[in-house]
Amino acid sequence: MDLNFTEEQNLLRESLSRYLADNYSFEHRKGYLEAGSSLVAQSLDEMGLNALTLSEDDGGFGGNSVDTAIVMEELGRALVTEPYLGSTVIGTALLAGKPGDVVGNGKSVAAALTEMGGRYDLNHVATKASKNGDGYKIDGSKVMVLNATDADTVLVTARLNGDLRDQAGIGLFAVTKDAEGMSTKGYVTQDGMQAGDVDFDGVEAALLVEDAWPTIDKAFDQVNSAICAEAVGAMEAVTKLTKEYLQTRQQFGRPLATFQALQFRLVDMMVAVTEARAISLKASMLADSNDVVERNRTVSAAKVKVCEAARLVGQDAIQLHGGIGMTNEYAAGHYFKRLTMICQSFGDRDWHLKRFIG
Amino acid sequence: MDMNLSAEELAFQQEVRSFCEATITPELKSKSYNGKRHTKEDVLGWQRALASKGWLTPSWPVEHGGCDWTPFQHLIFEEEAYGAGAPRLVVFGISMIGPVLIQFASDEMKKEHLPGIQNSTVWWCQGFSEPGAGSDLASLKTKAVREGDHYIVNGQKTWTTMAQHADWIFCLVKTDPDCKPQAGITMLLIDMKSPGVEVRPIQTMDGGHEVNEVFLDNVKVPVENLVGEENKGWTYAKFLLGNERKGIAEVGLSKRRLEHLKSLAKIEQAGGRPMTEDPDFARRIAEVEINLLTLEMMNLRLLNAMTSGSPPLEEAAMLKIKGTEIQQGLTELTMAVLGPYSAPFQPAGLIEGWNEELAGPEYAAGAAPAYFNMRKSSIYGGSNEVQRQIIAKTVLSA
Ligand SMILES: Cc1cc2nc3c(=O)[nH]c(=O)nc-3n(C[C@H](O)[C@H](O)[C@H](O)COP(=O)(O)OP(=O)(O)OC[C@H]3O[C@@H](n4cnc5c(N)ncnc54)[C@H](O)[C@@H]3O)c2cc1C
Repeated sequence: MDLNFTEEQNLLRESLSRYLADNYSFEHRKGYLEAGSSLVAQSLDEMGLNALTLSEDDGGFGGNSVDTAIVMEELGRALVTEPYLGSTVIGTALLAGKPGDVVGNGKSVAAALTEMGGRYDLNHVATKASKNGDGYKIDGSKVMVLNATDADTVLVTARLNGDLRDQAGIGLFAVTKDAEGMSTKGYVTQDGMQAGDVDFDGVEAALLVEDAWPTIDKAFDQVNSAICAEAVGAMEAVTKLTKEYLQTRQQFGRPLATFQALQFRLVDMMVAVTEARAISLKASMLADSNDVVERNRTVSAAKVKVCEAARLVGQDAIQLHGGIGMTNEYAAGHYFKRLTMICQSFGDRDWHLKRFIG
Repeated sequence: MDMNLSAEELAFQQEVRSFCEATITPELKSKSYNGKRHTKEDVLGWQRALASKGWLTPSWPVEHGGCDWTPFQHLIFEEEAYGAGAPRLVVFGISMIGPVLIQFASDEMKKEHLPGIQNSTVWWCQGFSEPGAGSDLASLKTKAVREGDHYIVNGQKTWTTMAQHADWIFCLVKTDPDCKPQAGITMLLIDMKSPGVEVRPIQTMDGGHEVNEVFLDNVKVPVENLVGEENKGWTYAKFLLGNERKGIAEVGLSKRRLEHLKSLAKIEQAGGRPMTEDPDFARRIAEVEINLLTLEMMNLRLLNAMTSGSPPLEEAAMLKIKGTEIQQGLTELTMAVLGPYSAPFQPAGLIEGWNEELAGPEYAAGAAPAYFNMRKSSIYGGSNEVQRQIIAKTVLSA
C-alpha cells in the first residue's frame, strides 16, 4: 500500500494551485461571472488538463481518477465555475477508451443524461433512438445539462429498446452542436455554472455505445469521485475563511475565536472535512475499477460522507460569520451555494445511501 | 384540559377565514405558497385591509386600538392568515416600535406616530446593528450630540431590513460615551428623508434585496424625536427585543411551508413513484412535522402561561431556537424534493409579471433561494448562540 502522491501529481497540484492563486481570486471570479466569460477554460486546456485522463495514444497523459481528484480539489478551493467537471471529466469518462476528437484539445462536451421525473436515476430514459438510414434519430428531452449552451458535442443517452427504467437497452449517442432539431434553453445555476434543458426533435445522432449502461454507471462513479474532491477543496477553503474570521472579528471586547462554543463548532467543521477527505481519496482510487460492486459502494460511501460534511460545513460557515455570511459580496455564501448544489448533483445523500445498502 | 377550540374560538376562526378568503386573491396566495417575492404593494394592501378591519395591531392595549384577543385567538388568526396565503407583516412598526412608544413615549409622540402604524401609512425600519456591533449590540458607536433643540447624529447602521421602503427609522445611538456602554444609549426616531441619511443596498446570497446599510452623516434630529429619556435606550431596546423573540417561532408560517412541501412531494418522483412513497423522504418530512407539532404545543403552553403572568424568559429563547431550525429544515426539504431541478437560478421567475417560460415547474424557482435566505433566521433576532447564552445564564444563576 502507498498513500503518497507521485512527484508528477504534486507538481500538477502546485502548478494549478499557483495558476488559480494568480488568476482566480474571489474578485477575479466575480469579474468573470459578471462578464459571463473568461479565458480560464482556455488556460486550463493549455495546461493540458483536458487531456489529463486520455491515454497517451490519444495524445493524453494517461492519468486516472486520482489525478482528476487533484485537479477538482483545487478547482473547488477556488470555486471555479468553468465547466471542467461538466465537460472534460464527464466527457472523458463517457468516451472511455475511444475519445475520437470529441474531447480534449479545446473541444467542449456536454452530457445530456438527466430527465424530468427521473431525479438522479440515469437509467430513467424516455428519450427514444430510432434507426434512420445508416444512423439514428433522437426524440426526447433532457434537463440540467451542464455546459449545454457551449458544447461542441452533446453526448446523449437514448433508449434503443426496453422499458422506461430498464438499464438494458440504453444507447449513448453523439450529437453535434448545430444539429437540426436540437434546441437548448440555457440558464445559470444557483452556484454560477452554465447549464440548460435540451430538447431533441428528430435529431440526427451517431451511436457511440450500444449497450451503454456499464459505461454510464462507471462514468457516474468517476464524476462523483471528482465532485467529492471538489467539495473537499471548497470545504477546506471555507473552513479556513471561517477560522480567520473568528480570529479577527471582535465582539464583547475579544475575538470570537476565544468563545469555546464557537471553537467547538469550528473543530466539528474541521473533523468533517478530514473525514470527507479520507473517504474521497479512497473513492478516487476505486473509481476506475471494473469491480462494479466495490466501486459503487465506495463511491456512494464517499458521497454520503461528503454530503453530510458539506451540509454541516456550509451551514456553519454562514452561521459563524453572522450577517456578513449572508451577503453576495462575500465568499462564504458562494461556497455554501456550491456545496449545497454538489449535494444535489449526481445523487444526493439518500440516493447514495440506498445504493450503498444495495 | 381540552385541546378542542371552544364555540367562541370556532366562531372567531370562521370570521378570520371568511375575511381572508374575501381579501387574499388567488394570485397572492399562489405567490406566497410558491415562494415568490411579495411587492411593497402586496404587503401594504394586506396590512391596510387588516387596518380597516381593526386587526393590524391586535396585541396593542385596547385603548390604543388593540383587540383584547386571548393568546389562542392570536394563534388562530396567525394560522388562518398564513394558511390563506397572507404576506408576512412588516413587524418593525407593529410589534417593535409601536409597543415601545405605547409603554415609554410621551403623549405627543404617541399621537404623532401611533396612527401611522395603525393605518399602515408609515413604514418603519430598525436601526440597531452596526458593522462593529452585532451580538454585542451595546458596543454601538453611532453618536448623537445635543446642539440646542436638535441632536446631530453621525454613524452607520447595517443589516437594516427594508430600509429601502422605510419612511422612518428607530435608532439606538450613543449619547454618553463616558459610562458603562449600556448606560449611554438613547433611542431616537429619525425621518428617512432627513438630509444626511443615505441608504445603500446589500445583496443577499439568494440574489434578493432586503437588507441595507444606512449612513448617518450630520443628520439633524429634533429633540422631540427622543423616545422616553436620554440614556435609557437600552431599557427600551431590551423590551423591544423581548417582543421580537416572541413572534419568531412562526408556527403558522411553518405549517404553510409544510403543507406546500407535502403537496410537492406528491408531484415530484423518485424511482418512478411520488416522493411521498419514498420511505427515506417520507421519514424526513415526518421528522420535521413532529418537530413542528412539538413546537406548536410548546408555543401553546407558553401562550397559556402568558394568560396568568409572564412566562419564563428561557422558554421564549427555546422557541426561537427550535422555531428557526424548523423553518430552515422545511426550506431545505422543499429544495431537496426538487432534486436536480432546484439548480437553475431564475430570479426573474420570482418577480411578478414575468411571464416567460421557466426551466422546470413554477414552484421550483424559489426553492433554493428560500433555503439560502432562511439561514438568516438563526442569525437575526438574537442569534441562536446568543439565545443559548440567555438560557444558560438564566438556569445557571437560578
Ligand atoms: C437578514 C438579516 C436581517 C437583519 N435585519 C436587521 C434589522 O432590520 N435591524 C437591525 O438592527 N439588525 C438586523 N440584523 C442584524 C442582526 O441582528 C445581526 O446580524 C445579529 O445580531 C448578529 O450580529 P453579527 O451579524 O454582527 O454577527 P456577530 O455578532 O459577529 O456573530 C458572529 C457569530 O458569532 C456568534 N457569537 C457572537 N458572540 C458570541 C458569544 N459570546 N458566544 C457564542 N457565540 C457568539 C454569533 O452567534 C454568530 O454565529 C439582520 C441580520 C440579518 C442577517
